[in-house]
Amino acid sequence: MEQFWAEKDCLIGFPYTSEVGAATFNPLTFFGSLGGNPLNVAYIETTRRPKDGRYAENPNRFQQFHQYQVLLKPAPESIQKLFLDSLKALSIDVKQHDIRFVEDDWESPTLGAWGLGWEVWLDGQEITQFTYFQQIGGINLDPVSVELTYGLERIALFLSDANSVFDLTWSKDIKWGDMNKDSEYQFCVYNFDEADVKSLFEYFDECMKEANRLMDKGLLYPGYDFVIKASHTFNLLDARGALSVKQRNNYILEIRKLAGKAAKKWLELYS
Amino acid sequence: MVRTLLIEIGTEEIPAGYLRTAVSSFADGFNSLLDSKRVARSNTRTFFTPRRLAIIIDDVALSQEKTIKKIKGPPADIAYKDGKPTSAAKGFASGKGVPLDSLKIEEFKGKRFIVAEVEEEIASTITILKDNLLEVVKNIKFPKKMRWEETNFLFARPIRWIVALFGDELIEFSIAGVKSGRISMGHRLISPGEIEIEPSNYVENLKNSYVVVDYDEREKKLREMILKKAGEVGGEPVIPEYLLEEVTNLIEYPFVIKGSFDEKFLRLPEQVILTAMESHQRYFPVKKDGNLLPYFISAVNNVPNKDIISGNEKVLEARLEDARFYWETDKKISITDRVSILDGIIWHKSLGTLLDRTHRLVKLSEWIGERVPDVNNEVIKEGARLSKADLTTLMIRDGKEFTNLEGHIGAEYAREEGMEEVICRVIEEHYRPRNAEDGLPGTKEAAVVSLADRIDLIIGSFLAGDIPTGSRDPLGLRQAFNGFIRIVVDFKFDVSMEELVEKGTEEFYIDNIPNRKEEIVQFIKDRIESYLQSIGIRYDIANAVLSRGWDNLLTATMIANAMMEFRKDEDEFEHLVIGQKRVSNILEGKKMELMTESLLKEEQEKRLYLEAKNIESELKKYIGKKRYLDALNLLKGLRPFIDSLFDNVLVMTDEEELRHNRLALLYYVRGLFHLVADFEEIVID
Repeated sequence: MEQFWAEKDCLIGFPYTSEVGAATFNPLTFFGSLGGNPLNVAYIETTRRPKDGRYAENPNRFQQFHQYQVLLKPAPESIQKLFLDSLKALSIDVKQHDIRFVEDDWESPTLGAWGLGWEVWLDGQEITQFTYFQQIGGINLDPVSVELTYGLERIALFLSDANSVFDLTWSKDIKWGDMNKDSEYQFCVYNFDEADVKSLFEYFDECMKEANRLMDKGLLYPGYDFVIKASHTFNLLDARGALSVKQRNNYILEIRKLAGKAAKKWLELYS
Repeated sequence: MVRTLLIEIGTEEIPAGYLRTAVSSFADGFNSLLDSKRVARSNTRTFFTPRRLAIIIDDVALSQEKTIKKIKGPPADIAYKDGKPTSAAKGFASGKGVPLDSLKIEEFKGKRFIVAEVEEEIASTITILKDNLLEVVKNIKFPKKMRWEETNFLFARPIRWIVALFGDELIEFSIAGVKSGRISMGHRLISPGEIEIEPSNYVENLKNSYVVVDYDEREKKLREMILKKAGEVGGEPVIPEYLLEEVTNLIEYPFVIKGSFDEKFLRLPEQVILTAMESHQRYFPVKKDGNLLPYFISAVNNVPNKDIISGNEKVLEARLEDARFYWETDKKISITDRVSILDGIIWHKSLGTLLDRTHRLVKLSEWIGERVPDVNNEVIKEGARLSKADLTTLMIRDGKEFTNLEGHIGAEYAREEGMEEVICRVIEEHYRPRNAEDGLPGTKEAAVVSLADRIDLIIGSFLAGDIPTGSRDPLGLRQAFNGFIRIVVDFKFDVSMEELVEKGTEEFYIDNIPNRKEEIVQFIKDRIESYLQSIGIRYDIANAVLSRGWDNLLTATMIANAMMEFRKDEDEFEHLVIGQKRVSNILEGKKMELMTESLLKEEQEKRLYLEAKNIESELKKYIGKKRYLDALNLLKGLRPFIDSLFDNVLVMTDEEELRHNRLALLYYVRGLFHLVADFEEIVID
């Protein structure tokens, strides 16, 4: 995958270091999609979604997994073909499978970001989120970027004969499960049962304050980092079941405000 | 001479739900263009798949129809002197390019002018199309549009090619940087090449490249194939029409597969299995004798093979595995024990937890239950207590897959534990109606809890300052209250809104409770007004009813309906209203003391008093029994006596005592009318 996109003139980037819920949070995408300069970038991202964990009991659902992220700005005209070619590069014979582009209007409420596009189905399995970004941080994007987010575990499962992600061959003797099963389980226990709600609520407030303070001082990247931390803390509270629908919405709004502030700051500083 | 017009807009995949409306607005746009430009043609046919919107119009004329335009010139008496054209007439004729002797004289607003009849220039159809196609395409309707290229054109998804042919002639234009041409594209996976299109053979050209461009044909084939596949395992497919339409619009060529899943999943609640199949995977379930079979049928967009089938099976099993994980894990804690867990979930920052909300729901439900006849209050209390317990389950909390089964899931867990069915139904149905199309709760007990749920949400949101404004109503309070009204009216629940709002507010034990009563009352009034409008009540009748009282929604609705019925006899209605208006006009809003019978002097005033007195007790009885049409008919009987009083007696006499007494009589009569409605609000057309 990396080779394919590198050959298409993509910068190869790195995963981010704070816990992100999606590769979109990585500054390469969040800030990269802003402003007028062309940018093509591709990178792998380890993503965390506490609520999606299943105590390592479900063969397909995890609180931590991997995405391959491609951001192309502006969106190339032949992007759908490029995408199918990238599947071919992974040795998926697209002529032999049912590939469909099914409406999925992507939205990240916490990032104030939305776009139109599809989830791409491969024989009924969603393998990629394909989005033409319209807004990030509440800011209209011009030019429009296209974002491809591949679900790596799902694609790997598809390419192998295994029925469970745990059984994916990682190296000759090591399976995905050998590497990840214990940590997956333990993190689920933490996310769902053990995380201390009181201190998470406090930490959330601290992150929000810190993000604001730093951004006001022009320290955009550290400030944005605290937005990411707030967002992850929110996800943990959500997984702990500590938030009602109403409460959830309020928290999302608060994070969105800060993400919007970060985007505005970036434009002030760099465009 | 006529030609066939073909336009195909090739796109990246347009959402299934957009296509039908889009193509019909496309056709409308075309036809109104051709109408306004006077271009003759015959049939319009429309076609669509996820990757194209197309329109064919047959027998289109090569140019506009001729038309004559009249142009007004100078006044006739200036254009002609002594029957001869003057220089004014000559100048006008040559200016318009018509012969002098073709000028006519016509009258405009009583004055005579000369008129030239000029043949309008006619444009060729192809020019008209070239100049206007962009506008037509721009006006295609989609629920959401996007930008994708540098001209920032807005469309549902990117446009990638355009075929635009008028007969064999190319209509040259461009949209969003794409130039029109003769080339279309075949099926993305099976026949991904370019196809040269002949307008007379469009459907066939595409079919050769695995695109069935006619929706009806795709749907018909799919339905047949689904039925056949289900038949192979001795079952019948469940084919919701919305789902068939959706999948027909997810593919360009109809193929169908049948897959199976492990029978162990059949132990899950049916709704859960159906949700996994239908709303996530867009599969058609298979049933036999009303029970699900471990099979599914799916439309696919490529020639079926073993890999496609096993891929789909794997996906469904993973989804069902997820559901089974939730189901088994959730069952470890009983639904009754879950109530206390609600304490750990904050409902709203300033309004406490879901447990607090549950306590309020129990009290409010009980309060309402005591005010409506024939309900089992124990069931109401227990149902309300358990109503939100499923919000602690993984199945619901997950936030994605099965969240919209809230209520249903709680009921299923309660059933598993052998709870009484009436209680399960409260848990399941207290969310109904979820929207305007949804049905009402099936039992009175569930209906009562549904009312409590709604009013608590509304009061809570207002107290917290989350008040709907303009088009913003993120918490769906309006929809929630619309459901409230439907329940009250359908179940004939007599509830005083003022008391309910007061009771509901009392239940919020929060610091510095703000006073939002006025806003809530205004919200309720607005809702009932729009509800009355939605069931076809005239605005003035709604005003007349609401001005009398909005506190009891059932009463207000029933009176409004009775007034509408009564209004059918327009003459009678009008007289009644006019009589009332005379009374009000003369009273000028004054409130009068009781009248004194002995002061009634004239025959007509004595008679009116007698007649009014006569009907009073019967009128009140009817109103008590909510027989408003009967009440209106009684009031109608007073009309001649009111008229006769006005015709024969001077109300505003100089004798102060008499005048006061007459006004007091009218005030008393007005009071009887006001028991039903405020007739002054009625507008006579």
